[in-house]
Amino acid sequence: MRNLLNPKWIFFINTLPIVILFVIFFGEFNIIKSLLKEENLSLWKTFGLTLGTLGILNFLYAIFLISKAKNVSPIYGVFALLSYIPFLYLYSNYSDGIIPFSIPQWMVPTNMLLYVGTFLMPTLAYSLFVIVIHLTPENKEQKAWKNFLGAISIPISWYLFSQILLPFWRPVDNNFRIHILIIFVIIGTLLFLFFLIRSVYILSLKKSSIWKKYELAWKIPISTIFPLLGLSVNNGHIFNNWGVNNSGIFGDFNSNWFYALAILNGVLICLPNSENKLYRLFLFIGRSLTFAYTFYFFLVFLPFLPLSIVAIVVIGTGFLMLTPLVLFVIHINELFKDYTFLKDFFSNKVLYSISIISFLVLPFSLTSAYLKDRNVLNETLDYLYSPDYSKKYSIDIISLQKTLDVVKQHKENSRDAIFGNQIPYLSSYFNWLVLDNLTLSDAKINNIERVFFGNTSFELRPENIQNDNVKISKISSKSTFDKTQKAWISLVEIEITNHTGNTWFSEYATTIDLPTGCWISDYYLYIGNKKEMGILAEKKSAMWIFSQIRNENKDPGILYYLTGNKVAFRVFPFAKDEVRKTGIEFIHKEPLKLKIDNNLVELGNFSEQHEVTNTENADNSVFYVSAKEKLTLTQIRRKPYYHFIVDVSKGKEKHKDEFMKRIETLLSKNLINKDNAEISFVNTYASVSSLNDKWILNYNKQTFEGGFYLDRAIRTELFNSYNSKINSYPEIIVVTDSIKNAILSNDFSDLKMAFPESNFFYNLLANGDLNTHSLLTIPTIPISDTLVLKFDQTVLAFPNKENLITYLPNDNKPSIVFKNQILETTELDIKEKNWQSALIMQAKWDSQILHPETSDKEWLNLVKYSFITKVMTPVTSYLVVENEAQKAMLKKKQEQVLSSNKSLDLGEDTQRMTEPNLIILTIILGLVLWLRKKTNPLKTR
Amino acid sequence: MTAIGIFILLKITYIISDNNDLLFLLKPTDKLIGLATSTTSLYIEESGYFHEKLNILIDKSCSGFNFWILCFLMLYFLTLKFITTTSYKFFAFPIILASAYILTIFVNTSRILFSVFIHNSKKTFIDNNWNWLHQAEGSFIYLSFLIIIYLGFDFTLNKLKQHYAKLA
Repeated sequence: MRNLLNPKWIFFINTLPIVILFVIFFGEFNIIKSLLKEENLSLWKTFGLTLGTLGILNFLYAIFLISKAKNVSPIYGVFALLSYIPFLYLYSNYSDGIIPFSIPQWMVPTNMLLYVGTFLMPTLAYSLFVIVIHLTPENKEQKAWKNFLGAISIPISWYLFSQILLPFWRPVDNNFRIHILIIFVIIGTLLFLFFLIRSVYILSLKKSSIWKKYELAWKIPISTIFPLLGLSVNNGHIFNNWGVNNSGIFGDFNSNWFYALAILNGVLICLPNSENKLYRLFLFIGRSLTFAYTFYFFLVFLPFLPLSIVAIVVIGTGFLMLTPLVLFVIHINELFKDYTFLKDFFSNKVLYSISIISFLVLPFSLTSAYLKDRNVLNETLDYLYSPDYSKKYSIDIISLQKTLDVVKQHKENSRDAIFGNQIPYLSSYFNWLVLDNLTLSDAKINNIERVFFGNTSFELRPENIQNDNVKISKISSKSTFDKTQKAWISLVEIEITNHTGNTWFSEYATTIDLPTGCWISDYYLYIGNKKEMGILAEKKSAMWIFSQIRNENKDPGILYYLTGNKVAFRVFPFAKDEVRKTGIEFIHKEPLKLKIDNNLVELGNFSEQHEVTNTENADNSVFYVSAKEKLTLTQIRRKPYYHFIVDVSKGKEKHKDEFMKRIETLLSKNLINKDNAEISFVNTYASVSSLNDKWILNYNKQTFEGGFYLDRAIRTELFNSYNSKINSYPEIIVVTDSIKNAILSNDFSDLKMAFPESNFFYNLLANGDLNTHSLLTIPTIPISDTLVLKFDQTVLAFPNKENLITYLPNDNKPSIVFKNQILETTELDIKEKNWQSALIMQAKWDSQILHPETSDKEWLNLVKYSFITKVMTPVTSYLVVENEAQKAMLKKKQEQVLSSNKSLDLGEDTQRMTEPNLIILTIILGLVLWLRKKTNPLKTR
Repeated sequence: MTAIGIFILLKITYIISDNNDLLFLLKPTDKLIGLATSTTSLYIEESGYFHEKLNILIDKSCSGFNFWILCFLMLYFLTLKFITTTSYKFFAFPIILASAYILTIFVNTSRILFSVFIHNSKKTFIDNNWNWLHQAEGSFIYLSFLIIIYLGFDFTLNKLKQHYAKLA
């Protein structure tokens, strides 16, 4: 342990943690600096400079000692304690000013305060060690029991003080009393830890005494019983005074691995140190391996060391908090003994390498397990949210189940305990490595579980919107025709009144069905008497901010796309009888009638005739086909064919025969020709084949597992049908016992271009009848039992039958057509408040719907184009906020995205000149140099 | 130990840095590539240096940072074999860091130029196997240079040592 006096330790114990702390805080500062006030900034500067100065002084002192070949002096220990303790004390006092409450929670990691404690505590512990070593000379007889007595006397005297003296102690100033108490606590804790460390150190020094003789008597409790007891108390298995159920006090250490490693570690520490070389080597390897475990708990409990004495006074089990510290000392001591013994047989380099490699086994195993989780999760998310409809997926569901369990465990955050349900530090590492510091929402986890396992974990509460009596009381519109771009710009002004009798805050929420070729280009909301213009923001951030502000009862209003052309419009809050004014600006090509709730408003002037011909963009890839122009197109009647979607999810094998019968019955009705019919067997995945003689054989081969992922099956079929452009189209027939249990994320409005004939699909009932369901609104609910089945709808060939680009619905509405499925556009095509630009953006969005695999790449462009045009698209949202900080955040984000690319559009095949992997390079280089040394030892010497 | 500590610290710094923070590596590399290929580039904050003609992007991932820290570590360890005085060890530290930086600019530029040359040959095989080929080619160039630097440096230091031994 005297080796601790080597000044090199200061680099590891002081310099390195301070540098890491600076890196963490610098990253955090960059995020929140725009939200900090002058006084907060001044605190950041003061504390940063102080810590920096302290760190540099320590560093210089270490360099000075190294150059003079001297050991660390006890004065260093005293000075370090006297400087870092006040620093920590002041930091905790001013922590509210350093990261004020006004900073949104999501911007700050939950344990920012603990970071300071964790990274500075090694210095404090080290200082104590230094003082203990200096005050405990090896050549002098020391009594461990005296120090134990000293340590125990402190909590006892505290207890007596709190019971006898404290009730009578009434200083004038309450703040003064608190400060004095805290200073007493700090001094008491320091003395307690000093005596404790000293007694353990004396014990470790005694080689032939009674302590040595009966070492198992204290080694077994400290290395095995106390850690197990500590884990059990933390996890609430015994002495559950804290009311902690699933989560632990200091974190979730429920995994069996923690217990197993505690036992293994205990056994390895307690094993006798025999003189057998091989046995000792294995023991050294084992102890080095589990040292990662001891070190981890030492780190976790470091910031709580000062609390241990309080815990001892309040509840007796508090002494268990000291176990990691004592175990850490004993573990190091055992390792050192092994090392001293093995030094005679192996070189220093070999022993260092063995210990480092063994130490890294646990961290590496954990990292590789996390990396596997990451791969599985990414593959799953790709399959669900950005799928390539033409690709076959196969995801390892055993690994996925494990990954989801871990994600759920890390995600849960109970506020009862210090780390909640998280595993200290490892959760942050997991979140960083596996989830890129993002979280997986409950809804997403539910979706994954439904698709892959056929069950869910979370009860999702539907949002409670109280809007029954909040209605539009006045609505008007003003339109102007912009001759330069030949498009209308219309402003709809709305007054909304809350007629609710109660005093609860109400919300106005509605859905606006935008006609094709009409987009929202501006928005405002009156907050008090001030007209606040809407900020166009990225949709996810905007919705997050909306929900946050909504919780604070501030004044937000929001517009965002739901699916297809449906736009959600929400304003909050409305007090009793309150009237609020808001307005939305639309940009559109033709005059149109817009329905908001039950109010019909005319946008544009129907009496003004402006010629609308087939509008197209510069490179002829996007077309707007007006209703008038549609009349000139050729009508075509395509042949329908059956596409059966059969439920083969978990537990559906019992319906197999009955489902077959249903299909046979329908086919026998000859509603449509059964030639070309297809069948998809659907669970997590869809396996498609033609409905030939072998379909029953195929059906029998299916594995019944996972959920009934109807959404994917329908989308894939629609995608294939759209791509094939053949003279036939699918009539989708679902065969299941309960369509309500089918997994349908949303409706299929966004894929409207893929089903021009009919907006319906059918559910095949037990009696062979078909229930009609809409692809456009709530697909799980049947439309009407009495709807007449029609399979003779016509479509329009665009631009004509010979040069066909696509089929359009034969309706009296305009349509948007894009020639190439993956649409290439440049920023040059995008202009502010320009209808043509909005048309291109819509086409780009539609093309992305058909090819979700491109969405990751295209998302940024879509957001950016939307920002430039100020036209809202499905990836953006119009939001009015009251809070200046949030407004600043939104604006900043917008500027960032916009400035990312001024005039260039990076092509898909632009190559990054990425460097080779550092780890691979290091390994190969190491091998090459090692081989050189081996083969040519003389030269390299 | 200090060198390994610095190595880890630099790597951590690299993880949290962006294109702007690595301009000291990116800018000279970009200039040299511009000179060698007679192309101009445009700096885009979020993406890096974009060479439109070559259709390549020089960003954080290709800054040469990995090479820099690896080269520094290798050279520093090699130096430690020859230096015993503590103050010299500290003195050698910034010199080696700076030398490694200069070498990095040169080697990274070579790697990118070589990569551009291979990519421009427009062979189907290359297009289909671009990712691993690029990695393999990068590893080959880096390793070759690292070994050459190692041998050259080792040779020079040995010679210097012999020279001083004679003088003594």
